Parts: sequence; C-alpha cells; structure tokens
Amino acid sequence: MPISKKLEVRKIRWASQIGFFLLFLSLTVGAVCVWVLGKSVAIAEPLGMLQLIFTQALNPNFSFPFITTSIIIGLAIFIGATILLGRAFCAWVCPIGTVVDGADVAFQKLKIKPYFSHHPKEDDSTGLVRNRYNKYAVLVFALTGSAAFKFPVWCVFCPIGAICRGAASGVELAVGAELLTVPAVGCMGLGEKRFWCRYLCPVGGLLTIISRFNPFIKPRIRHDAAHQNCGACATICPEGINICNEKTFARCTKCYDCINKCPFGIVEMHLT
Amino acid sequence: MMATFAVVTGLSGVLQAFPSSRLVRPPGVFVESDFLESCIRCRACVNVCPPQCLDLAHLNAGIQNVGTPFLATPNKYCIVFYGFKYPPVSESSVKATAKVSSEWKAAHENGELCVQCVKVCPTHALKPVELSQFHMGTAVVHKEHCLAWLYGTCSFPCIDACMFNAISLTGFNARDLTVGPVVDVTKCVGCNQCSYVCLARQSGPTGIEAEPS
Repeated sequence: MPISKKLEVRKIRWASQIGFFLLFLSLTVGAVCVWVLGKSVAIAEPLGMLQLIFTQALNPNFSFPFITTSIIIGLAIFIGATILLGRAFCAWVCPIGTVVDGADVAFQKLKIKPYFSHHPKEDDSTGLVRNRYNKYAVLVFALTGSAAFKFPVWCVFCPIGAICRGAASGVELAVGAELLTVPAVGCMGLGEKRFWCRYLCPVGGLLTIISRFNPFIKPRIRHDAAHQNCGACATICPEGINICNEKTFARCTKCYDCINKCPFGIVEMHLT
Repeated sequence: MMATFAVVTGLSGVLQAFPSSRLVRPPGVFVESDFLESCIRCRACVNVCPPQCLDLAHLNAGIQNVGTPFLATPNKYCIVFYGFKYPPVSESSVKATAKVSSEWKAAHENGELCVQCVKVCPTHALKPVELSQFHMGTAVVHKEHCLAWLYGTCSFPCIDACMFNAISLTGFNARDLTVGPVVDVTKCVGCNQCSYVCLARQSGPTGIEAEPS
C-alpha cells in the first residue's frame, strides 16, 4: 500500500520524540539499555546485553547470571520491533536522536550551515571520520573494550545512557563530567546533519545489522514518475540514503523526511 | 581495526588518569569486580530506592565507576528494613530521632528486608541477599570530628540509631579521660544511619560515616 500524500509525519514524529524523551528522563525506571516496566517486564537493548556477554569473554569460568526470562523477553521485544519496523527506534524513540534533531533545527534557525557540503553521488565517503562504517568500528571498540577491561565500556561514554541517567531520582538533574557527551554530540551537527547517528553511534550500527532482516516500510520512487536520480533525497535524508541507488534500506530510520521534502514529490512509502 | 586498537590503548591511559575509588555499594554486591562486570548503569536501583539513598557515580570516582550506584554518604542512609523511615532530623531533636530506630526494631522483631534495589536489578549485578549476608560497608569513626572523641560531650545518638548494636561506648580517650564510640566491624552493615543522626553532622563534618570495606 503506497503512501504518497504529504502527511504531517514530521509533527507526529516530534511529538513521539519529545514524549519518549520526557519518559526516559523522568517517568520510567531504567535507561534505554534495560527499561524496567513494573515489577518484572523489561525492554532490553541488545548492545548493553552484548557488552555484558563480552565482559565474561576472557573469564575462564564464565557465567551469565543476567540472562533471565525477563531479559530474554525484553531482548525479543526490541529485536522483534527492529525486524518489523527497521531502525525506527533511531528516529522516533531515541532520546539522543531528539537532542541531535533539536540541535540541527537550532543550527538551521541560526542560519549556521553544516560544514561538509554533501555530495550525494559520492555517498560512501572514504574520509576517516565521515565513513558510515565507523559505527561498526565503535561497536567493535565497545565489545573488545568490555572484554579487555571487564566492565561495559560503552556505558561510560554512551550519550543515551548519560541522558537517561542524568535525571537520577527523577527530580534533580545530576550533572557530571560524563554528561558533556550530550552537548558534544549535539554540536557534531555543525559538521553534518545527524553526524553522530550517521557515522559513530554503535547502537545505530547494531540496529542497522539487525534491520537488514526488515522487509517492511521502504521508501521508493513512484514507478510512473520519470526517473530523476537527482540525489536530492540523499541530501535530505539524515542517513544520506540515495533512494534510487539504495538496495537494502537497512540504514533507513523511517523518518519520512524524504516523502515530505522531495522537491518533485515522487517518493512514496511502501509499507510491505 | 587499527583505530579500535588505538582507542582501546587510549582507554587504558584514561583508566590510569582517573583512578577508580572504592564506593559504598548497595546490598547484594559480594565481589566488586563481579558487580562492575554485570552492572549495566541503568539507574533502576536509584529510582526505586524508598529513602533515595543511592546516587550514581560520576567521572571523579573513576572511569569504571561512571553510572554505578553508591550510597550517598554521609547525608543519606539505607533503611535496611522495609517500611522504616526516620522523621526529618533537627539539631534539637537528634536524640529523639535516633530512638525511632531502636523502637521500630523492637516493634518489628523479624522485619522484612527492603532490598528494592536488588529486586529491580535487571542483570543480577545486585544478587539476592539474606539478612546474614546484608553488607554495604563499615562505619568508621572520624575521631577528628566526633564530638565524644574531641570534647567528651555527646548524647551518643549513633548508639541509639544502630539497629544491629554494632556501636558501643568502649573507646577510651586517655588524653581527656573520656569515652567515645567504637564500631564492631563484625556486626556493622554500613547502612549509614549512625551518620544520619550524628550530632556533629548537623552542624559540620560528620563524626561517623560508612566507608567501603
């Protein structure tokens, strides 16, 4: 079923992002890594659990006491949702995504143009930092680091965790030096739109790997439209996807920006 | 992969730059390294704590400890038993406040342990505990701040407050010929209630405080 009309998805997405941001900040127990609902139900994010497994990697008599029924169910919920909806977490739920989007809008309003002018035809940039495979390097760093130092290394740097933990005890904002990662990640928007999510975030990297199995919700050029291949969608897309060339759409965060902002209005969303 | 190696090497340098300090952990931590391996830094225990005595460590406690829970000494205390709570303490009613603890303990002979932090912990970093295993740290008397050790004048609210009778008046100050409190390390669980009611803490640095053991 194609959706091609200009929906006001952007406003719904802002509402969802801000709602989840407030939810993670104050209303719920736990960070995104393990989000405890009520007494025993949890939603578990796979990177945190992978790190916990890797902390035991060099331990000769390893044990995994954290693998409980609620954690397995939580992981199944998260991975199942990622297979069904792709990386929708990044654009609709993730609190750091909200911060990054807000910073990008602020830079836009202040008329500060991102530093790198994007060349859509050279999508796979080979620069050292501006390489989308850096996500996987950070992922490997998180896992090897956890194995080497025997504590979940990424949790220390994770800006998502920094936001969720920031409001300790629900009321006052606990300010520590590690909370600096949040404005730092926001300021990366000076380089390029959604720089953190595009090139560095290991959670996004892991979700990209999982969402390769996602068969639903993919943007396509309307088949009766003249094939433009103008690359405008790659400039609009927060992940830099050129719809005409992309095959798997594993990176797609289902943000609907391409549908709303395509200058020719020929992008439509195929739900199946 | 080279970049990863460089980052891991750099991290070991950062680990040296921020040496990790020991913290008073919530109950259920038997081996500190086991706890650090399985704690996911999700602040669930901090949110659920009824007296809100836990806090999350920041970078100044060492890079390994960032986001891990600790007992916020000396101003917060662990209630140990479910349903117990001190009234707000003021300088004039310290002794009366401290007696609340012993009265409550007498009324509830075998009270149920609180351990909400252990129950909520999703990764079993805090392991289930019995009362005999309940241990967070050990109270340490700061003789340079304790009024009894300094001046010999104190109403000893810490002795009334201790639910486990771990503090006794057996210390002898030979200089002033006065007595001072002494902590029995075999009985103390490190709940920090003695520090909460400490007379010295009401107007300055605390004379007794739970410290990691």
